[in-house]
Amino acid sequence: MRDAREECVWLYCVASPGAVVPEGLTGVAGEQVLSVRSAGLTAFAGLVPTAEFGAEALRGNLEDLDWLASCAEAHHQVISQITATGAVTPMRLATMCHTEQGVADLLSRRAGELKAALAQVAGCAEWGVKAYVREPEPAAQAASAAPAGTPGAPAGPGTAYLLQRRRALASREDARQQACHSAERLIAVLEPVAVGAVEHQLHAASIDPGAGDMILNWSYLVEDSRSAAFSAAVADAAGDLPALRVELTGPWPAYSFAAFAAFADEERRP
Amino acid sequence: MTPRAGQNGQVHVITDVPARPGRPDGPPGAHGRAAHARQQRVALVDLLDRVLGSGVVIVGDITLSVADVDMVTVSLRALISSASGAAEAAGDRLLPPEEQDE
Repeated sequence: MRDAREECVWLYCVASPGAVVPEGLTGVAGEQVLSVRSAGLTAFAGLVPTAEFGAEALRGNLEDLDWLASCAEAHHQVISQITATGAVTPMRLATMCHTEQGVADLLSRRAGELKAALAQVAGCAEWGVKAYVREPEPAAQAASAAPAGTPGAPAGPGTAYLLQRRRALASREDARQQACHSAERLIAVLEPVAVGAVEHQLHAASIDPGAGDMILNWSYLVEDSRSAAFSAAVADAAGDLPALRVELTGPWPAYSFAAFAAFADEERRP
Repeated sequence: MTPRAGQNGQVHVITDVPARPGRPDGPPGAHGRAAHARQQRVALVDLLDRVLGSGVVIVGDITLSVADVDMVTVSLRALISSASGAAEAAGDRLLPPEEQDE
């Protein structure tokens, strides 16, 4: 992007034409959120300073965790507020055009898939389901280890330590295998309650060092009328699957079911 | 926001995701602050999973769309290293085992 202009256009989301900007809504640069209409669609956007949000500046700013966090949060707040007023297909963070005319052109060029995405998420919300391997209790490890001693072999302290270490590792491996089976079960139970499901990458252990190994990270698209049933299904499954620790987040705007993933890939091609 | 671990200890529901990262409204005390910082970090990663599309939070280079012009390539390796650093600074290593096991 040439950074010659002082402002560029940051896109938040696309909605049906009736959608309006909630009063006083401000965006990632504290700017007033505005709407751009074209092809029977409304895009919500904001004019942001190129000095901070242009391609050159963005490369550095996105590497700054504090900047990224507050930008992602502001982007999310705008989309959340508009989602509260009707069906919305969110834009990926840092989707930008040079001008408002560029936004209108984008709406026209991508009208088909944007409308399809809006139709898919209408009346639905996204819910996040994460599951972690529940580590065996140290007491349980010790108990299961006790009867497995080698009879008749006088175990010195070094041998005892190695045996204990091996049992602890075996116990963790068992826990992981059980968690894998349980995760498959959880996926099978939730599938019929949702209208869509997307798998995310598992989080690195360093993100939440005390949480245990993440084994499942999915987003589900759930009809609003079934959100209570979905929550109950998650809670019931978690109760039936002690090998897992399950977390439910939401409701989210339908980020994981947005049109942007596909068209970001396409726009990237020369 | 509801703290982690409900009565059944199985499902943790967050209904007002996410907290603004860095907002100092956690319970007092080193453990409370550390747990709060961790929770905010997790909420941020959950958000980034979504607003950046899947596949970005592990490590590596991702491409963000600049819709009608070109693409911006960024690295989020910084996120992982910063998260680890923030955890230590917030005193996560001081947490008692039962909190780490949550």
